[in-house]
Amino acid sequence: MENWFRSIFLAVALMPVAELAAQSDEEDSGNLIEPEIERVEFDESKIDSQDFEITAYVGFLAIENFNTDIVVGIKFGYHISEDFFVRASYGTADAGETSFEKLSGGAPLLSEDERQLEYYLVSLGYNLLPGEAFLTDATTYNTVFYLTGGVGTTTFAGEDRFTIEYGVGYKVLFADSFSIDVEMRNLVFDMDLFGSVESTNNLEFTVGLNLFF
Amino acid sequence: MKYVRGIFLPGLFLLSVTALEPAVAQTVEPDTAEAKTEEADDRYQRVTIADPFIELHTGAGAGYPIYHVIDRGTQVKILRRRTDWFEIQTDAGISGWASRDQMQLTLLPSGEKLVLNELSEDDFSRRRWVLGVSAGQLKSAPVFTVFTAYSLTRNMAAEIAYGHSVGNSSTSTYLKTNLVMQPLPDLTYSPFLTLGFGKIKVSPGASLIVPAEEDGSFSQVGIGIQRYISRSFMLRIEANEYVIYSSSSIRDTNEVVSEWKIGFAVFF
Repeated sequence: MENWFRSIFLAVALMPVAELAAQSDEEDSGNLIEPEIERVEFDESKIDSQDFEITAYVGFLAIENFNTDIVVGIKFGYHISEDFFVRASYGTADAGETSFEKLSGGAPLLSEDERQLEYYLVSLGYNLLPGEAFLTDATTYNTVFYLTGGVGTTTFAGEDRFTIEYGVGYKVLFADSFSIDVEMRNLVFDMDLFGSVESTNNLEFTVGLNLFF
Repeated sequence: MKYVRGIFLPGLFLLSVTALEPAVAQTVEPDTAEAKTEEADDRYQRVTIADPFIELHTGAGAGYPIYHVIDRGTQVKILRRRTDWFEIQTDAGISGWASRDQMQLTLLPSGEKLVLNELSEDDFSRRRWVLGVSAGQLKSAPVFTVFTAYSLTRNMAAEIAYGHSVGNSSTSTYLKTNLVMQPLPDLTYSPFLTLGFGKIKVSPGASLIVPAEEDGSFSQVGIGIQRYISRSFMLRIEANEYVIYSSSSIRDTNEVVSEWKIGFAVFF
């Protein structure tokens, strides 16, 4: 066949092909530009977050020079990361009589009102040893041994006393958001009731129920 | 033979294009089935694991044991978040905690890479509410403050603080309201200036004879530095100067008191 004839024939034959290619391009680009997949917006704020914790606790507070009494309180915590948390706690206890008052039988050192001890503290906590504990072969609970340290104020014997606290605790997570903890803290504040100002160590041992929310 | 070849080649070309065309259309078929299951389970968001595998811990922390591993391609629901950990659940019902780092390598149902809202320096400068505590010294007595602030603009915030200072011979409590000005909120260590006023109540200790409470109002100026530490946490150091307006008949000069504090706050 002559070259010129072949060229024309090719051009004519390819025209519909080009049209088809252009067409399919349109259809394809139509599909590519507007995918029919539904765009689902991911919104992290819609995920239920549980960074806060509330605790109700009860235990014993050994008030130095006075007797040991029951303390009740609440704590409100915020978990910054898996390792650190901050906590505000409020507790109250009633001090009894000092040995001196019992033995001497003289006038009481403090009035009833002044014997009411109240403290509020803000602490930083550190989850030192997270892990798992096995109650039986099949029953396991997540646990964490943690340290706390903080400052605050104790109102006792008619005065507000600057307090430092440090302690340790052991928490067992029984259910998703519910846990029980046993905590031992030392509340250190100054007392000036017996002549000189002295720093007193008041040990507190409590059991608390926590809820994450 | 030349003309046969001449017809044969374009013919082949024509055939190949028509054959390919439907194949091209197939690759962009919509995935309506997946979209429908999402609507049904709207409460929890779904992602697909893109990492070769993702480890599930029994609790929200690296210290808790890994008890399950999920393969690439598995679809999971995100149930909740605690600190930087997410509780996810597969369709088979297995749930566990995965860290934010691992979750970064997942895909949205549409195939896009998931971008988790890692609270970064940007978010820090866009925060609205701040709640914090700080402790320090007010005129040689320890002081302990709780404060909350609300961002009015990028550079200004309104703050309310309640302070409690326990000294050797007296206790002071104050309530103040401040304007916090941050000229450079984008810096890692962002300086700020505070200006405000408030009321202070000084209660002398019970051991003093005939104690009398004193109430006074004051104005306050202060400077400080804020530093973003982690996801929603910041550290703050400040130095304030209070001018307490004397209302007592004994003194007629205003008392100037200095305070320094270090504290931390949560911002959200």
